[in-house]
Amino acid sequence: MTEEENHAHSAVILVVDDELAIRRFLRAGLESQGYTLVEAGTGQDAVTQMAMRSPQLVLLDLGLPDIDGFEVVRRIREWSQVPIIVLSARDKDGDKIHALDAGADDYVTKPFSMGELLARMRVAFRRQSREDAGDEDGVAEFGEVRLDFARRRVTLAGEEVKLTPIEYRLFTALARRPGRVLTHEQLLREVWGPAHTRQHHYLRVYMAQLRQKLEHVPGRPRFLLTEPGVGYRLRES
Amino acid sequence: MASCTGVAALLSGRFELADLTMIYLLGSVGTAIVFGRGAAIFASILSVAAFNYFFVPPRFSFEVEDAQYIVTFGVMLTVSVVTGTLTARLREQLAQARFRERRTAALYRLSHELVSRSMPAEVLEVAVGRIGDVLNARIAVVQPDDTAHATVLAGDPAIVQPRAESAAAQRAFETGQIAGLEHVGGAGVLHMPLEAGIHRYGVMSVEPIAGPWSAERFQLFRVLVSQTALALERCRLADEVHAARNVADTERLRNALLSSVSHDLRTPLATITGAATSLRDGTAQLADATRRDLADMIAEEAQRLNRLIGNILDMTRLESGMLRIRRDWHSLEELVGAALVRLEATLGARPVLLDLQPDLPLVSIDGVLFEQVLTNLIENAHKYSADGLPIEIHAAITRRALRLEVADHGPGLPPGEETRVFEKFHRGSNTRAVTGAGLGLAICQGIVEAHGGTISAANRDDGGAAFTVRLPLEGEPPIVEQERSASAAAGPS
Repeated sequence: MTEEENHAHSAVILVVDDELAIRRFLRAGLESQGYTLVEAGTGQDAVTQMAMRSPQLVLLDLGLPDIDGFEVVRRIREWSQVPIIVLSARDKDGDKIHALDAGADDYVTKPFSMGELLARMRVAFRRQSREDAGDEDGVAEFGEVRLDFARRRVTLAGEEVKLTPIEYRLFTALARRPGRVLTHEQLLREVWGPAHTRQHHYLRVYMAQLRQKLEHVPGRPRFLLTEPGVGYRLRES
Repeated sequence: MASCTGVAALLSGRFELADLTMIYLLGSVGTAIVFGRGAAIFASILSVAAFNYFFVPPRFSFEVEDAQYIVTFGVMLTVSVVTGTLTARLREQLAQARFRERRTAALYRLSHELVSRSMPAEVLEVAVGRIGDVLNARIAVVQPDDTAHATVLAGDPAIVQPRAESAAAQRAFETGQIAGLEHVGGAGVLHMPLEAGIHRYGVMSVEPIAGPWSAERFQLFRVLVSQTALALERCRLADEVHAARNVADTERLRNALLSSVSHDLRTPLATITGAATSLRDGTAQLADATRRDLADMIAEEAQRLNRLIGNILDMTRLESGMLRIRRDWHSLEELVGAALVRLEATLGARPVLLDLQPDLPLVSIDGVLFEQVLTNLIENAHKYSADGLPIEIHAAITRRALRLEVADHGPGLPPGEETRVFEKFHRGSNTRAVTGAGLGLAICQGIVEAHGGTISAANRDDGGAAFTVRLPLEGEPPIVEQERSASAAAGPS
């Protein structure tokens, strides 16, 4: 049994949503996968449940009746690194980015399919277990692209690809959290420093260069994906 | 006259007295040209007197030695008065012609400038400026109301500040007659109603800066005011036509929306309800494959409903002007990529030919909205061409504009549909199994136009439809400094 499946059969999931119908279908879908569910209908309730039940993952709706969803993220992040996946309504990009910047791991847009949600949850669990194990220096593979963190080497189909220092920093920033969306601000802060968090066009230029070097068809990327209005995501193969 | 006398004195030694009379005649003609008829007659009399006093013996006396000179005086006076009068009349006619010419020019300029204005405020602004120049006067346009507090629509409010003047303006507005007529010939404020057809738009109050209200000035004033009133009338009629068309549009849209929404919402809901109740009530008898099929139907139809609601929301936001364009510098290649990734599941194995000009500069657009334009266009190409036929995406910069084309190899647009496809709730007439509310292209058009661009549809020479977006490029993309050594790669540090 892999670590991942292990999670699935024991993990406690905190579902925060004021819509009873959503909680009901999540319960049906997730319990059939072996997860244990804890429910909260308000932000206040969520923070309390968080302390009492210490769940392994949080599914958080942003439109809560009492406090802003991203405020809940902020409060949880004050003391816990539990993966948080935001359930957001379409066309609420601003809230989504807010929550991600506050430390949420990922988001899914309502309406979503159970399969999509489970996939995102698996990515979040993997991130957690990697961080717990502390193996930052492994090797990451995306299709034919291979990134060796220890030797700072990137290859495409076995051929070494020369990346500039910024390209490399950008690529590793994404590759360290595969499958997870990183906001423009998070990437800019990490690659260029806190003084450049408004220069979104830097990212566009350097992402284009990365795609040029690492994607077969830069105009139809397979790994270096854009989340319009939010940021970027490196898709796992 | 003094200078005539001077000149005559200089010449008196050498010429006959008869010749000296000519010099005085010249003087009165000159006076007529410069000062007009009255002055010319006065100059003629003065000439005769001066001639008599200075030159006719005995000199320096009004006495006359020779009776012959009495005749000379008579002839001289007559000739001088007649030529002076004729000259003065000529001068008046010339002045009148000049005035008419100026009036025509002023009228022409005013009407020329008014034609291009569509807002009443603009019309008034132009009129106040122009008429003020032409009449050399201060102008205010006021709209009196019941409370005797006149609203100044344009111009100098000081004119109607005095209670008497605002009362006069009020009177002019109520009666439709010019107020202040007693000032014609003098200098005071005239109030003339701005009236065209059955509508009275306000009152134009005019106070000359210099000079009196001459008959010409008054005439010109009346003509200019009626020009202005006509321009206001034109604005009002244009507004009415526009409003009427809007009402008709809204009505048509509401009907289309209702029929479309009720059909498009009910169809998927019927499927979902049917499939879900089948699953609930017939669990025992249903084969696994059937159950799976029903679940798929529910998921697909729900997806369709979601898209439809999204489109209706977008359209509503576009139409109500609630949609704000948030421009930033975007890479077109990236947006095309994002749209293609979003449609990955929809497109499946369909080939996509990408022809993007290399080194396309960053363009200043709203990335989220533009990705939606691309998604809608690609999805449209997918819906209207058979599976397996390629979709082409071309992008290039030509003449300070971005040109983006999404083309398919399907049957193309039926003749005459090239502009109708962008109408709301329009669905292709060769629609077979194609679903959707007919909003996708209308949304594209709304977004592109909000960016100041255009979108058009046409059939390609070799078959299939092509949708072309043209966006004017504004500003220079920001410079992103390149790293000094592109090859200083990520080797071991």
